[in-house]
Amino acid sequence: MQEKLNGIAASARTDISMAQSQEDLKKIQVTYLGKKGKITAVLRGMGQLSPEERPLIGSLANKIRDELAALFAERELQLRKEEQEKRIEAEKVDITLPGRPQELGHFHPLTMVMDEIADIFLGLGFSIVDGPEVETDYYNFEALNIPKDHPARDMQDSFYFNPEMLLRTHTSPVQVHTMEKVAPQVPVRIIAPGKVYRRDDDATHSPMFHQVEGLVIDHNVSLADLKGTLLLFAQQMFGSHQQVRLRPSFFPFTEPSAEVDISCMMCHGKGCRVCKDTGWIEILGSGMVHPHVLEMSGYDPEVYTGYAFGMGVERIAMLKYGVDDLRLFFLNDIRMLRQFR
Amino acid sequence: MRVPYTWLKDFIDLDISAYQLAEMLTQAGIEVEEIKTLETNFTDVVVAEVVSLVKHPEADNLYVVRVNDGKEVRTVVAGINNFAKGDKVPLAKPGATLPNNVTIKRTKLRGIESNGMLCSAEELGLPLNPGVNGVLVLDRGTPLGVPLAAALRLDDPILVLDLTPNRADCLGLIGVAAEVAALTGQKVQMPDNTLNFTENELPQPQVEVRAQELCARFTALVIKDVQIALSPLWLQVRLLQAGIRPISNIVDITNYVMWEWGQPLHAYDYHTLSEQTIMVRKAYPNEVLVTLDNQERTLSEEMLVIADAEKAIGLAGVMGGLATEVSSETKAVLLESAHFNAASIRRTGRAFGLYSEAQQRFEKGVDVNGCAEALRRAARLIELLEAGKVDGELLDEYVSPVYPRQIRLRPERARKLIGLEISQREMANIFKRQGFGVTEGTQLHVTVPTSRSDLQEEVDLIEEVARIYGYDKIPTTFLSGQLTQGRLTERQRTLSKIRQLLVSCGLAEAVCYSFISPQQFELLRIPQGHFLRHALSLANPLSVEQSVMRTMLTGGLLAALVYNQNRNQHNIRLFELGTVFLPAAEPLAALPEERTTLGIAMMGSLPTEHWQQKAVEIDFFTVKGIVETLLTRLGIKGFSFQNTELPWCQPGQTAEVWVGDVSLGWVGRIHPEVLDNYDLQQSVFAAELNVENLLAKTQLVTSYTPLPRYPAVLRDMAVVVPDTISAADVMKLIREVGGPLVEDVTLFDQYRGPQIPQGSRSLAFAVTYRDPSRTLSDETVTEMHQQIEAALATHLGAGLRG
Repeated sequence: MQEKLNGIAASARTDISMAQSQEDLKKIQVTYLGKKGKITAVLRGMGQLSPEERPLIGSLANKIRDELAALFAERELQLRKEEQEKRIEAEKVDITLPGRPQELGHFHPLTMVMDEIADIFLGLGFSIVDGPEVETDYYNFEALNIPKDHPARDMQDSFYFNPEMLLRTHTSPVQVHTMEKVAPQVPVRIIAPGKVYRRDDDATHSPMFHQVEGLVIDHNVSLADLKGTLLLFAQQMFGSHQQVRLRPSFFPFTEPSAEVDISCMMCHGKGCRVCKDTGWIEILGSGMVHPHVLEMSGYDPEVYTGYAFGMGVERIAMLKYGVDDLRLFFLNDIRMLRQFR
Repeated sequence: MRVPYTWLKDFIDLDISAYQLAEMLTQAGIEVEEIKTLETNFTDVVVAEVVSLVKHPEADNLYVVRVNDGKEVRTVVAGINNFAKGDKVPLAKPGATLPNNVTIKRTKLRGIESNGMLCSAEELGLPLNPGVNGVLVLDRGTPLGVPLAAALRLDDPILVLDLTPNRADCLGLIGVAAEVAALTGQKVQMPDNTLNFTENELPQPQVEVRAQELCARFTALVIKDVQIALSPLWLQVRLLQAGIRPISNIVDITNYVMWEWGQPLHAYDYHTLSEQTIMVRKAYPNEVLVTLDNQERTLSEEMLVIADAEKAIGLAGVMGGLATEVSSETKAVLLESAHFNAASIRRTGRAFGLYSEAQQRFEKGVDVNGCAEALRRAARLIELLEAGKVDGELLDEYVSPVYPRQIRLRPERARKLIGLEISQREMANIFKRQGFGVTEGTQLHVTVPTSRSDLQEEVDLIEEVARIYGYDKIPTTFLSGQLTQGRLTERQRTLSKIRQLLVSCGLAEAVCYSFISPQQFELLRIPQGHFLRHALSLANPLSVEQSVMRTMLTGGLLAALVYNQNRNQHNIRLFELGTVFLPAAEPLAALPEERTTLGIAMMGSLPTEHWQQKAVEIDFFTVKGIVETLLTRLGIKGFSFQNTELPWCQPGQTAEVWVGDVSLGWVGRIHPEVLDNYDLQQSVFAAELNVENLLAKTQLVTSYTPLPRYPAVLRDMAVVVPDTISAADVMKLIREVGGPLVEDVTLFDQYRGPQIPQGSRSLAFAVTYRDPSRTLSDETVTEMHQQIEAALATHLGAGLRG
């Protein structure tokens, strides 16, 4: 009996070491340790042994069973590792093959610029306000201190529907709508992005384009505050090294008025084609809200002052992205749109 | 406005260069757009003196001229002899180049060597001495040997101003000089305009201003003994620098004075005036006038004209009449210097499409108090240049006098508005330097000359202080006061989310023009009378292609697809979030509805061809899927797609999207005829959603549903239904019968084939059953599943498919 057991153990050791796969090993395990396995059979035959032999054989059989179980486990681990290594080898890919693309779309560059402008001013406590694109003469001109026959109407030749209604030529009417709505409450801090329309069509003018208007009304608002706000805006939009320069200008709805230049981002002030060798690039018009405008819209100009500014979104997008033809923004050429993320 | 630098120096001392001056003016808001010189197209042309002039011995019409070019005396052969010994003439040396690619060579003409060429103005490309045939004879005082461009000052810098419309005062050099004076502290030197008036020889004209509301002032002066001739070259060159063509002395002087004073002048041939009467009146109905440009113009009653006793002789401030034009025969002239209403001039000019220099000045505003002074200046120049003599008195009909304004300036207000610490004295100096009267007390009282019509009230003076002091010296401060919250509104957040979602769905954002061609309605097969044809029309479009406001977005997006297709881009998915314009009624009585709308249009295949996967053609369900995703992500519940027909869509592949009884828009395949109309070569699928309705149904706030505690049971169900039954019908019934136990129904297959009868299809659904309160038993699920199948058979005639 003892011999038989040792014989089984020896053959099992050989079989285990010869097993070539986990599957093989499983079969061998059943052959030896399974319910109908060889060791089990020996143990079942114990009844025929003498009472003296029984504990001896029993303990031997248990010892062999434990030893074999450990061997099986060890071999299994070994085989699993080998198989895994084989599989890994077989699963090698050419990692330079292209990945499966995720089909994401694209924001229009003008949206991206307007979002960025909005983001900057939201951070400064401004709200965003909309206004209609079809306006009355009153809101587009009269309430902005541009009476009929005013030469400033030349600056922005308009698309009319009838003598009283037109496509707004600037986002400034939103100033008036806002003031009418909230006067005489302060502070007013808004920006108003949107489409505007002028009768112009060439490489630098489009009959439809976008502006962002800004308006602040409060006690003691000064031209110096306007300068500070615009400096902050320019630095956030174009980089912290940016400088701004205000030049006197004329808008009927602001007084004093200023054109605002920022240092040229192409040449950093050295002078280049983009800035026409001046080192400066004009990006917006601005000024202190004209007392007439304040008064017409319900603010006492002796008590309140304010500033307003208006910038062309296309111009900023052209500068920011290096786009050289304004019309590209409205062609919807997918080869252009795809460049914006 | 062109400012010839040396001409400006007539009025103010300048010790800075033209470039420094330009920078200074630009910083003060008088923007100098560019600095240029007159264009000259010649080289190696110098001033030479005629030493001798004899006929060519061998040719009747040639002359042999000996000229001194400052270095040597040389011989040239000339074809004309409109000059004499001692005259200065332009000599093009051998090697010189002239306009039209002419190069001068040493040549022999009939045996005599010509060492250069004597040039006419025309040969030099200079519009000087109009009408003169022959060599350009220069003033005898012109220095010898000097390059011609320098001698004639053709190379003087010209500052080109881009003036804001409020600064009409700078439309004259004297106004510019006043501005320079404010900036530099130098004084303006006014020319001496003293005139010696004499007893009149000619009858003094009758001046009558009838249209007094349109003519504030009319001054006139008669000039006798007129000798029409060319102006001296220096004056002609100055006019060229101003951008005006020289004609003859009298007319040139009126233009010259306009450039100096900003005051337009006009000269009439005195003897052509009927009854020596001149009046300012409105035109008679259909009155006819032939203007200087030889155009016969029919006038309307609101137009202001200058007339004699019989007829209109000029469009006031816009253009003179041909009949009274100064000509070489003119013996006496009447000079006019007047002030006309800007709006009236503007309307008349627009009506005829005219935009003369005079008109521009009247429109922008001329100083009514400058009329007489400009007239004196012209008369003085006429006498100095011996073009005529003043006859009688200066006639002045000053209808509505304008006086200098006195404006109060509170220094503290100025400091607060600018945000700048600047002393009262400094403010006062800024005005004094410009020659304004200033009374100082606790406040400043500033007397502003009428030439500065831009300075009307205190705030204008404050700008003037800031401007002259220098915007660059204003400090940089920041907003103060009550804090405000900057935040997007719910609407703005949702619109931004819609954009985000569509970009996530792989669409590129487009921006199309708001105006379209009315032809678009034809292209889209929109029938006459359809509400989408009720579009706003522009009264003054740039072109028919952009003459009508869009009522839908699809047309623009289809055009964008074509644009891309024509550039060999075939897989395009676009969306636009934009406004459509829907008038309540035509003609427009009230503002139109501006409806925010979402448009989608796509063509080609998806995804991009890849080595692991084939691209699939975009179809109806691509665009429907995007709309479903969008609506779901916006938290819109209970939307459904229902069959509909739209003119621009292919029947059978068109759906209207509903939530309850609110229509959100449509999804569909573009009609093949529309594709043909646009020349689109692939199928196009599109959608348009009313964003206002979308926003009303949007529910962005999510409320959490607890995770299920009991397992779900998944069962498939395949039914054969006639084509008349929609998948939605089947799913609806499954949910109805299954009630709360049916958690989800997903269609995972549609099959047509040999085993399925014609006109039917098999639809396979995965039904998820779950009871949130307990584990479902197999029997319960089976029972429910069978119940559903039975209901499908009874109500929809569905057969089971094993």
